[in-house]
Amino acid sequence: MTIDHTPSEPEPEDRLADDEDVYSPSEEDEVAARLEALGYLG
Amino acid sequence: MRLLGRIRERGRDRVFVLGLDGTPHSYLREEVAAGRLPNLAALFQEGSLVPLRSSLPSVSSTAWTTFFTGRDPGGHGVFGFMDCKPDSHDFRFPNYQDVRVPTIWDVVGRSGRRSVVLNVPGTYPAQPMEGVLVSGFVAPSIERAVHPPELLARLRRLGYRIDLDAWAARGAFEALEADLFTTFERRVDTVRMLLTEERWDLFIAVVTETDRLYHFLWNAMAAGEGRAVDLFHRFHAAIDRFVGWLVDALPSGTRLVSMSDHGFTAERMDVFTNAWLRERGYLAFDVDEPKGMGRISPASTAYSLDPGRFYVNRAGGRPRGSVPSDRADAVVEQLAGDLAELRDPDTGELVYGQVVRRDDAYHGPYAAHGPDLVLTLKPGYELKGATAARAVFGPPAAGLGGMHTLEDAHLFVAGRALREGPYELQDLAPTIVELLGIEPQGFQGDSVLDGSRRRASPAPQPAGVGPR
Repeated sequence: MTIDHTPSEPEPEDRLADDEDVYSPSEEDEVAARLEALGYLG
Repeated sequence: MRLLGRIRERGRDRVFVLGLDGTPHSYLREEVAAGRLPNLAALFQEGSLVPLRSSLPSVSSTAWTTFFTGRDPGGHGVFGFMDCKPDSHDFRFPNYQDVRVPTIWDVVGRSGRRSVVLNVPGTYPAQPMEGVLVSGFVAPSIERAVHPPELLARLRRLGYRIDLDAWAARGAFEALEADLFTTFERRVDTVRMLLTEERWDLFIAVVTETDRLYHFLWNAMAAGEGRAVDLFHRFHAAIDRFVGWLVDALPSGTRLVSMSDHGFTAERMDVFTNAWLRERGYLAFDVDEPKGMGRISPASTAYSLDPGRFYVNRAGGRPRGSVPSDRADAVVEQLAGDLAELRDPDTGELVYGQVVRRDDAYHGPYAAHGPDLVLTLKPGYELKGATAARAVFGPPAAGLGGMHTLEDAHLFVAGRALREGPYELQDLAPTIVELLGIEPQGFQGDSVLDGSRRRASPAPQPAGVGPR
């Protein structure tokens, strides 16, 4: 089955409100570290 | 002519997309002309190799999402590796769950066909789709990077790596060299496995090792340092051997596309945009050494996020926002004028390329979330959003020496003539679905194929201010 990411395009605010738990705090640190290694964040 | 010959056999329509993260059109041309990439040289005889324009900004998360949705960031909502949260100035990291518009593989799946998607940045966490998906950068763990989950054990048996260890490789030549080849070899092993064991109509495989090599050693290579030049030659020769194998291994009827998400060039000087904003009185923090944007002073009128994204510090959802909506345009105009005067401290030359306003850069339901201004600089000047920096200009950080470019990404399509350029990254999704025989509808980009069923309309061009 194919998942349609947007049956009807969501309001941008809805999108931002429901995805805060994608990364755990330790995963956020890992993501930040990987970005810093390539010169982002800093 | 081996690939073209088999395309002419007209088997089932299939497309294989080889993504070489950051590999410039100009570099490929030079290496082919020097005779160092014989398989790519032969392949390029069978189609069109053209320069491609990246997204604005040209960072991987934004660029790859532009590639796989066929929309500019206003259409898909990913403007960079980090954004401020909607209710504070704390950073969050946009991810695949932010992408609520159809991807190429959604469109392909709806037509009853199947995709293999390997290592495309911006696809973490993996989500159900018609086929197989292994997330790319910035996936912090393999467990949630794989669909279907049963594939995980097969990847582990191959020793698959999402990415090389960038901290270990940065500034450590031998570590970079070893990790570069090992990560690439295991990725190639995974391509071989998926190519033969999975049913697919669309196969997208991205090599991100190229981008890592360039971030760390482009300056050294460009300066002619022997071991860096040699490593560039040997690593691209490995890619070339893979392409040679791939051309022979692909089933008849497969169209091969090669592309990159941005170009690359030498990094001469870093430009710290938040230090510049502080110096000019736009930005202040409530702490001496801020980490992130969370402690921005409410007195600030503007702030900047990587790379070159400028936001008015609007009153509203964020408690530390302060600029009323009726003053925002004035701040934007003042900023645009001041940025146009940004000069190299050593030479006095103007360094900026373009200052692009949001309405000119972004189109679609998420455009309002984009930066008010996007700044690009001349090649060699790298934009940095570090909040703790106090000096506006500085040398590249230790271990880094290479920067993305908006222009000079590459696109190759085997066996098809292309319409007249320019070619934009968002044009690739409609091109790929058209190669699969699917009507390219619902994209902002236009197919690059000559005689496309959807007539190309002029892509909106960013309108900058000041000199081009």
